[in-house]
Amino acid sequence: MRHPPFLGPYASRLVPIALVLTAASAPWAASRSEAAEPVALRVDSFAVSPAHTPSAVVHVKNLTQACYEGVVRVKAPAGWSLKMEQQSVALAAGDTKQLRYLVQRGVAVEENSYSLEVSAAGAGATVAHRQNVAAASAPYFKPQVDGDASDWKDAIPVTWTTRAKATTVSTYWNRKQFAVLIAVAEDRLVPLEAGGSSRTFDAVQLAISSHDAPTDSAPDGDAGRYEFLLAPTSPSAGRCFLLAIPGTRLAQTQSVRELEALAYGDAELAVWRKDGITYYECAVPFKLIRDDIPPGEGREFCLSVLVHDPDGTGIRDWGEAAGLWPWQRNRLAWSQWQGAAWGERPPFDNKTPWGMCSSKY
Amino acid sequence: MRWSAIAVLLVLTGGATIAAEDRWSSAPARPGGDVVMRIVSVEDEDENPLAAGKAAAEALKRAMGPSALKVVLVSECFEDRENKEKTLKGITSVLPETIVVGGATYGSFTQDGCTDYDSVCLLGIGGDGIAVSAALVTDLGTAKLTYDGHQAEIQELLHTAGRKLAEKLRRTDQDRLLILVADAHAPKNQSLVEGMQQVVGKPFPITGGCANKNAGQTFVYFGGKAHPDSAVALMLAGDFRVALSGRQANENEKVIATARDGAQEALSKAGGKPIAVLAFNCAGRRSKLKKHEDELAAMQSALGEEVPLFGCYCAGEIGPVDMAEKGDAFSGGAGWHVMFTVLTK
Repeated sequence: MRHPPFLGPYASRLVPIALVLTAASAPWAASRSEAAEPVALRVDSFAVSPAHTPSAVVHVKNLTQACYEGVVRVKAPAGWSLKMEQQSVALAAGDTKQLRYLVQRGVAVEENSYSLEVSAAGAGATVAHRQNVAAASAPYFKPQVDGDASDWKDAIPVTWTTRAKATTVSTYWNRKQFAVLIAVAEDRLVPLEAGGSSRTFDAVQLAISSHDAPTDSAPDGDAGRYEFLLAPTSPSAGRCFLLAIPGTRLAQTQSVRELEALAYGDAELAVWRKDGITYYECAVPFKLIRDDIPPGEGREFCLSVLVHDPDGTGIRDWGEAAGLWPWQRNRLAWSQWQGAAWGERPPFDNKTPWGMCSSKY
Repeated sequence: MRWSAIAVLLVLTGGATIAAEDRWSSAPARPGGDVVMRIVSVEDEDENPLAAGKAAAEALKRAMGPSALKVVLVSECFEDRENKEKTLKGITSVLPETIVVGGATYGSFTQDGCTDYDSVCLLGIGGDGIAVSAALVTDLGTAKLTYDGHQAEIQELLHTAGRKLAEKLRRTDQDRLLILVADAHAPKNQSLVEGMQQVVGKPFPITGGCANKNAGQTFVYFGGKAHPDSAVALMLAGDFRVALSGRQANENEKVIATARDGAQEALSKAGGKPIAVLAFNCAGRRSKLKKHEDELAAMQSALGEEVPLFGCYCAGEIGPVDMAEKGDAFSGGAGWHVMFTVLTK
């Protein structure tokens, strides 16, 4: 990220910090302790199950004002083997690179969480980073969107916890549809009221984009994503809204729009509630997104999820759970809408990688 | 049996001698005889898999000329069993169903280009200089088992299935190449190959690919019929040579480079003018390409554009594994590979 992200309604709050960073010629919002380390490290989610030899993609960012040369080493979980455990990297000041480490043997576990240790030795320091990485991958399947979760046993669920409440995202693809099942543990369901209301309500916001479409940094830029809002209208029904498509101006996404005009009838959506969990089962047609994200085995794209739980946990952000860096928060990455309750800080960018795979077996 | 009845039976079976429903063998190869391999593909632009299958079969028949077909290897990627069976019906409306074998894949490529969804590609093998023995095993029992949770069970089941499959094949001293198409995707394919090697031996050249593993698509074909949870094997025998190579990659540039290098290696080892080239390729490799055609162009930069090329995208590949931990066998099963076989006289 070469420019500070456009911060929208948060800009005034962050101006003093931005000035400090500008004085230090640092365009990112890193804390002082992080800036003391020469590089920052993070790992992308796996695009396929570990058993199917994914790559561990490590992002390395030079936090110094000088060139950085070092060796980046990845330690995989016990029982795994990598084709290459370490690679050299050279970075100009402020630059970021991706290094890929092919998993030759990986072992999938039910929890779908894998602890990776990454270290970077260079510039007189060794930076260590440990991250739990998930396989974020959609197997091929044709689910019935019918309010019955039994179709989803062959998915690869990704779970994260926000203030002791779990969110689980499962995905499928087929040639005609991209489908999600999102299970939101919450004490109470607050539905969207009929007729439009400014009252806050529970919802799930999804952003789907091509893997090579970074979020633009200026309000006159392109949204570059397909963005949906799934809103319950009762404990057993819901509606889908299409908030943005590639070509939508980012400035437009930042205006608080009435949802009724954004209703998207081509999506199939079932909402139900069981045992303290709200389920959103939704399939969107590929005819909408095919030009940017053609369906196919091995396809890599970006999928990110925000859960809105205004009377409970507040925002639950997959970008945070997926390990994005603190300075990758970006207001422009998510549309405003009538009834949304945002937190004090902007959500994370929506460019978290996801894959389409053939099967988890 | 009267001679006229035998003649009718031979026509219906493409000349194959049927020993049982799960195996057959052609007439032995004639020393010095011809080996003919032709590849055709048809993309269905009319949502008519029956017509596409028929058109492909007719094109193959024309391409084979006077050479009698010994076997037809199918790679198709229509969606769902109904459409796959229509494709097979189209093929077997023209060609003898007994000799139609193969599998559901993720797409194909030939000397003429790449195909994607809703296409069918046929490799016809014929001539009196080549013999074919074919076999099927069903009920592998591993489709819903994960390698992580059931490794020992998978190994046992697939070792047994591999042995059974290999034991069904006719063996001769002219055996040259074993082609395996299985619903046992990487990393399970390694166990199936090991089972076959318990019969044919570790040095024997084995190549092949794993069927599409998308839910509801996981079929192999034998006798013109679709079989889930199964594997088919073809033993090719005759007076010809084979040279194999394998390369692994999962990034655009490396996929392209390894395709070129692998093709070059197999061609160099083969010597002589190729009869045909087989390329069992990984669907995952294809997904890493910015342009699908780039990999084919790289292969053809080594092979030339005129050599008959049968390529398909699979869920695991079988051949010389390009990994540090590959053991002492000539072939293995793995993922992210392209496995080349160059056949020469």
